[in-house]
Amino acid sequence: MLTPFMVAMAPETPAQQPAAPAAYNWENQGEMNIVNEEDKRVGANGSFSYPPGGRGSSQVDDWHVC
Amino acid sequence: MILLLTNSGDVTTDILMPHLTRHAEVFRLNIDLWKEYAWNIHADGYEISDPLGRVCTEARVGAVYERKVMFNPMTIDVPALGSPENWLREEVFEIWSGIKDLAYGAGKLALIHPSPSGVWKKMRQMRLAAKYFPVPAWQMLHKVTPQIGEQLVCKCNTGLSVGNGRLFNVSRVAPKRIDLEFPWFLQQAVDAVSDVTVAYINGKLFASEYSRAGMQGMDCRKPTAEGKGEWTPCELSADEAARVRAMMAETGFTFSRLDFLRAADGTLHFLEFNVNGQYAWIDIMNKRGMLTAIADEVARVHNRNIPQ
Repeated sequence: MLTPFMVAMAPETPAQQPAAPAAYNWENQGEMNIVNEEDKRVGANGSFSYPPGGRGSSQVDDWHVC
Repeated sequence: MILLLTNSGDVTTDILMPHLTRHAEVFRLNIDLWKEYAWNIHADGYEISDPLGRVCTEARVGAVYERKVMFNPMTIDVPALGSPENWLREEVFEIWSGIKDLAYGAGKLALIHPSPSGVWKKMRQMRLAAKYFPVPAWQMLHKVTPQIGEQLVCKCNTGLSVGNGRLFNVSRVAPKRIDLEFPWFLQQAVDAVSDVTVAYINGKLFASEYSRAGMQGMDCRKPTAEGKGEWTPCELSADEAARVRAMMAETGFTFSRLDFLRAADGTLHFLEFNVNGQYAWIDIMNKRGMLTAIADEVARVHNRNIPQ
């Protein structure tokens, strides 16, 4: 019989990675100006990237990191 | 001044910042970096300062906007008898919650706020949504037999990891194979051609869709997280948009991100809404003006409290 844990732990479920230590820019309070759609700079804590195609694991409620 | 309650790794805040600073000075309070801030909260107000000497005083705050209040690491193991680290986190979280609560009482909480009509858990969301959209038959059960057909998916009510950092995917499941000694959230599978997500910003709608052609599994979050496929802007029909607005008006929320499935016949099936969902990825270049809409709404609350 299947348990919820067996379903969630199916091989296709990606493991969420712990966030890297923050490297926060106090000067501009993390402000970012996205200048083009290919811009995939890494977010302040090092584990987030964007835009679509570049988003990484997030540990946020709905997986979308920005 | 706009007070942002968030964390230092919140990319949405990073991207939103230049849109907000066009309206007012912004003070970003990152809960994960709480040790770097000084605060003094008392009977007459509060003052918070960051390491560079920026000062946020309650009297100057016209709007408080909550993003993602998350520590780093987001969760920790807590023994049954507690731990100093968890105690500190809870104390700090209460400070954050208290500031938010003060803002709510003062009419300063922008976009992300409690609803006077309740919390709106998924079961209540789906009951309400059924007035406006088809909702795939669902059942949350324990020790009873599923009664909503054979083509089912299992879902969950929380976003919690089930262990080893793994999240609960929406997955097809055969009702005869599930162990009824566990709690289950089951829903009829929809033969969908695309996922549709809609950011609702106080009446403004920004919709995007993700084609299910070639998608493996039933949960679009997985290929999205892996960078497979693309979310593209889409338009809701006038009738669909009106129904979203009417539904959200009933909830009392001014922001939400709603998730739907689009069937081959064009029908939009409601799944759920998230009253503090992520959104910047929907319009990261602000081509459709979504970031402007967010910033304008925060600024509207700000300017109402501190006339310019």
